[in-house]
Amino acid sequence: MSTAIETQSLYYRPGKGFELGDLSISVPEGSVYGFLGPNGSGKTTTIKLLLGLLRPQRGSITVLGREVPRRVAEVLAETGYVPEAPHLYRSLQVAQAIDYHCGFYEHWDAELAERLRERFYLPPRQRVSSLSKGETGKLMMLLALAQRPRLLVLDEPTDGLDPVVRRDILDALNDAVKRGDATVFMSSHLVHEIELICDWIAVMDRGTLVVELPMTDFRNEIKVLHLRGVPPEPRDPPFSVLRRDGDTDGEEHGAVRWTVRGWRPGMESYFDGTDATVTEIADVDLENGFVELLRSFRRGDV
Amino acid sequence: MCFLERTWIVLALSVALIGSADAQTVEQYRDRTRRLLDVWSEARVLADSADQVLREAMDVERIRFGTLLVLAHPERALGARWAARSAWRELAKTLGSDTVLLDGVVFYFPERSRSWAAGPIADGRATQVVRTMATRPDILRRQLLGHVEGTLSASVDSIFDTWLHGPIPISRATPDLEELYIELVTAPSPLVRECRNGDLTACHLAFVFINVTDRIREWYDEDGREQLIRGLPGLIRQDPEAAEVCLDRGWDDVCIAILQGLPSGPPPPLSYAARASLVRFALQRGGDGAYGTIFDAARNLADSTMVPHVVAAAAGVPIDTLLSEWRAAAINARPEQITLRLRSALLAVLWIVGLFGMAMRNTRWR
Amino acid sequence: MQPIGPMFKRILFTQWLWARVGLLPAALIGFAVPVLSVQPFNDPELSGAWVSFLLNQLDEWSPAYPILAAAMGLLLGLTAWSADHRVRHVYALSLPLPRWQFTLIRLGAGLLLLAVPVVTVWLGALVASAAAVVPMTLQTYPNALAGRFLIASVMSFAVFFAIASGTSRTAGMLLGVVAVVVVAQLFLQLFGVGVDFIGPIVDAFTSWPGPLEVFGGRWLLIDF
Repeated sequence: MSTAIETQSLYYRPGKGFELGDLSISVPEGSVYGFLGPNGSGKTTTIKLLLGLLRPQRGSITVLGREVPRRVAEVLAETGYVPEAPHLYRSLQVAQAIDYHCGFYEHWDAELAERLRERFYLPPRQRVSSLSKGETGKLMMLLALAQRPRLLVLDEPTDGLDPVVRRDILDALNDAVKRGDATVFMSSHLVHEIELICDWIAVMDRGTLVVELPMTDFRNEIKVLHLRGVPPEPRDPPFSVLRRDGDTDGEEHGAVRWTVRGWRPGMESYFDGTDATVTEIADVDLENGFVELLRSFRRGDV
Repeated sequence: MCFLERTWIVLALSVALIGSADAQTVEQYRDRTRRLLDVWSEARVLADSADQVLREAMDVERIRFGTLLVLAHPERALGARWAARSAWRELAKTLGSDTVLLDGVVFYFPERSRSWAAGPIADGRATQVVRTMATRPDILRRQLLGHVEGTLSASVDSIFDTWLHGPIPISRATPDLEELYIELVTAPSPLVRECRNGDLTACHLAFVFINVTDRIREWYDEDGREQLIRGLPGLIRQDPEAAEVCLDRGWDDVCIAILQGLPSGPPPPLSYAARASLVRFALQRGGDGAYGTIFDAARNLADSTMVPHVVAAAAGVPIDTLLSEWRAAAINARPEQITLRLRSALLAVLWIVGLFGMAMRNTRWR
Repeated sequence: MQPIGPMFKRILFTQWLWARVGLLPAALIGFAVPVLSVQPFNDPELSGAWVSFLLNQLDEWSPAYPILAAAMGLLLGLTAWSADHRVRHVYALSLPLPRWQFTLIRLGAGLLLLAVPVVTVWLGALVASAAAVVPMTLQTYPNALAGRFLIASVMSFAVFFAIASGTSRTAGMLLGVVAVVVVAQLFLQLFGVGVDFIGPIVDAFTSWPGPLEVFGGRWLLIDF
């Protein structure tokens, strides 16, 4: 499997306080990679490092087979980027902004740009400075998509936008994904959005990578075990216990719940010979799974 | 009123008072007055001698370079020494063997707080006091050279001094011909323009080698008079209404009347700078010994018609030859146009390339 | 990679958009100044006595040229980067061309726009030279005047372009140094210490071989 983005032991420390330590990620080509993490976890910093806007102190970055920052111009020629904060020239009109952008990209799809402009209801003569936040977000997405990039890097593309706009943007993104045009690297702290379209997920916290795995594995591996009886203290379990809830007396069915990670079918046998039995194995939605994973990580359990 | 006059009045009053009350004769009082005056003269001589003793005994630093002797109050010694050394170098270069003219002349830099006081007596001679509050050696040098010029020029005849209207130039050996060219082009008098165009008679008139009866009309035409007044703002301020009639309405009679109001008459067609440049040019032309020649020739002139001969004597050529050569040198000294100098342009290009390089090297863009 | 042409065209367009408000009036002024300055040179009957007066009248217009040149350089140098500063240069840095190339294109676009007032000054000088009645001892120098204006404008542009292309920290440091010098001078004067270092610093910049030497002196269309 080839990778669109690969980092090895990436280290970046801008000053006192925040530190991005030993980050190694691998984004498969053609995937929709969700980069999840709470605010301040290092998502935007990572993206800036990937695109050469920042320079790491240590480690290597390879994007689309090219070393960054040495060949970053070649990478950017095939990368559509939507940053967290609007980055367009505010004095340009919409049509001027589109025309300006298209001059830099060889594979610019003018037809797609026009279709998207109409779809997003962006008046051509309106200044960027007078666009609403949602309209600006749509314009940035339009510019990124119309480039026909091999890689789309989206930094919280729907943050702060109303649901309608959010849906517009995600739909456009979905269309691009279905066309199989590009690898998508998307950061967000909105878990349900990641859940909708991503097939890979990485979780960051405080500058460190917590986990990186396919979405199906994430869903399959994190479960809530409903237990009857008095479960023992976990001792070398084949899974990680992220959280324990409920009545420890265990008299009632399902009173004790363990949220676990790394669950595989057949692991119920761990409880053989104990006073507890597994009565139910429930799926966890991504948001709860993400929260428990983070809590566990912060406790030092993961 | 001087001391003697006061003395006479006091004595006369005394006589009048006493005479009315006393029976002594007028002859007796005259006799007494004469004796008092003798005592007063004697006292003055004594005072001068005391003054001389004091001045001979003054604590001074003696600085000698060649024939240039400079005394300095200890407070000024360092700066005076530098100034004297530097001035001597220029004087030796300019005067050559004529530095002997400095023999017997002594200059003195006094204490700053007592710059008004008399200078010391040195080798039986009074010193030329360079009164200045400056401390910078380059300014002291400049002022010393100015005093050298003034002192040496003091020996020339008043007729020559009146003509030149300034000292015979010694410092700034190289004539400032570029400025002279500008004067030849911009002077209000048509005589100057004709001189520039080669008319030697006009040159004689412009240099006031030939006297004229009506300076206002013969030195300046109508345009020239108007431009002359324009260049004398003090004159305009004295009588603004007349100036307005002259300048704005172009009434020449009024312009003439204004110029007639000048106490020393209209300024000569060529400035002191031009006259000094001619003298300097002549001295350079004359080479070694020229200064001695001009100082000798400039003593005891019969009348102002001798002035051109003094200048020519310094050059060692006839005056017309000298004027032609001087005019040609001035024409050749036409200044390069100041709108764009090549070296300024090249320097600017270097700076521009450097600044653009800085922009490219900015860390954001590396 | 995309060829330079389309990129240059777009960057030129944006810089024109940002600078046109000042550029157009400046171009008009650039044409008008030489033409107006030679108004006194209109009488063939004037004698040579008027040369000094005429040159003084012309000299009164001298400051207009360096001021216009400095203003043009300031306008184009700052507007080249102001939009990028507002968005923290993220857009510029995410475009697919080497950074030095982007800077060079911005520079080229700025220089091309600078040609507008330079050309109008040159045209104005040519028109003025043709129209003026010049005394025999004087000459017109329209090419030299326009050349000097060009160099001064480019110098001003280079200074402000270099400053504006830097980080806010660099610009802040520069301003800080200037402020320290000025404040130190004021303090010394306040305590009666007669030391002047602003004067020599200004002299160093404005006289040979300082960068602003080309701005000084007389700017005369008509001269000896």
